[in-house]
Amino acid sequence: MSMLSRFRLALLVLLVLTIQRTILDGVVIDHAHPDAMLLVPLLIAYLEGPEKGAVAGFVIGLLTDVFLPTPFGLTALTLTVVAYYVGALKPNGQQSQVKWPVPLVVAGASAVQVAFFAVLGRILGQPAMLTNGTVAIVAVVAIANGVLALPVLKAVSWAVGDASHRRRPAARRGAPGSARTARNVVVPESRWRSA
Amino acid sequence: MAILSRPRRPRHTLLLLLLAAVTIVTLYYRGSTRHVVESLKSGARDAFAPLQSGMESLLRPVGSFFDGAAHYRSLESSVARLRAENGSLERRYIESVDVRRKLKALLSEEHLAWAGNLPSVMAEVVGGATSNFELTVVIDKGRSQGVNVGMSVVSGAGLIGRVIEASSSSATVLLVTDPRSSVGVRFGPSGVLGVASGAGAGHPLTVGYVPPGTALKKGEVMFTSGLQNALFPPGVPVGRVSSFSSSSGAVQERIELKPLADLSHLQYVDVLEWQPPP
Repeated sequence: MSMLSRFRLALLVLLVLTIQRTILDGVVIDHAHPDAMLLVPLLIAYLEGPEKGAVAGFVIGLLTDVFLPTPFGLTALTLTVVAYYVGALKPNGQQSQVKWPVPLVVAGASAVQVAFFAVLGRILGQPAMLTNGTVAIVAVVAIANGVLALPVLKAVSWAVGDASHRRRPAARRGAPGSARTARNVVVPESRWRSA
Repeated sequence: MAILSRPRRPRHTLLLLLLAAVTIVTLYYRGSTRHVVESLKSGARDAFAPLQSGMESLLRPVGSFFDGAAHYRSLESSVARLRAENGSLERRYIESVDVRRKLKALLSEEHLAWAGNLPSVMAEVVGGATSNFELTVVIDKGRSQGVNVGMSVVSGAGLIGRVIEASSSSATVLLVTDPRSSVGVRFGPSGVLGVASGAGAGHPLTVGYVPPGTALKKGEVMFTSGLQNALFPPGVPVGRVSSFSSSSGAVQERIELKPLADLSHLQYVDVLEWQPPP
């Protein structure tokens, strides 16, 4: 990732943090509010693969923890794991054979992160983090993040310099990023040995 | 046929990051680095505060415009109702001045601190809960204005909560409805004691340790008890009894308490410059 991409990402994270703190924290639905800070690492993972996703999850998770009264490091821990597995849908920036719709991926991953966060919080001695109300929190965050996924995807694509979500022509056969070089692609053994 | 193996590097990175995250959480829980983390959090909040307040002042008129447009009719009726209430309250205030003078004299004889006499810092609520797992609000006053961790926060109606984090220019207030919050309360002519605990957003407080058969009526107001080592000063109204029941064989009354302050629409609050004894 180039310096320019990192600078753009830093700007984007700051913007999302500001929007979260000034607007989204006040949008309360059934005593829960959307959590846009999850979106950026999840979408970086979706676009760039598990390694960059995990790093983004850790860094942005720690930044989020700075502003939360919950145990420090808990968001970083959970977001690292969830972003890694979102990235595994599309490893190393290559294209997965299965095309998952972005809103569905983001909604599902957000739900898993919130539930994981609540369970870990309870294990770490915060019983109030896992109650009947947790279901509503999971639902609100998942739905809201699913809705916000597509516009934020455009912004993250711009930040990381990924053209595939800006109407890129179909990938060349065998070129980096095409389905031919993806993980778990089944190739005939004869071709594999000759290569 | 063969399947290409998964690259190993991402998994190593994941393990390394997980190890780092677990170390951070462990160090925070063991308390040895908690003060470092708290000062880091405080510094970051202070650095972010100007940007946040700038954005808020930019966005608030827009939000107010849409809010006003959406609720125009109800606002008109609210203004009429508030005017009528204002007249009534003015009359009652004049009547209460004498009663308050007598009450203050009585309390000073009892050597009790009354919340109304405590110095306070007025603050504006500038943010809701930053986490979905904590019932908190953020206020625009911090350590540089005399707001410190442990101070009680009230509104004109009653108790709101206590300060759990303070940076130099802002503070986080844990609301009384948060499940982590407990308030010692006193009620009735004989001063029966109990403990009001938060039960989560949208739920009334539950009052425990009140013996079964205690004389109680719906709508009765409970005040902070202010017993030794209490977290809140005495005499601050907490809530009204919304329901109570006692089953046979129960060791305590089952009491629900509705907070007097409207915790979902807070704008201005007072931070009492009173801290629990160490």
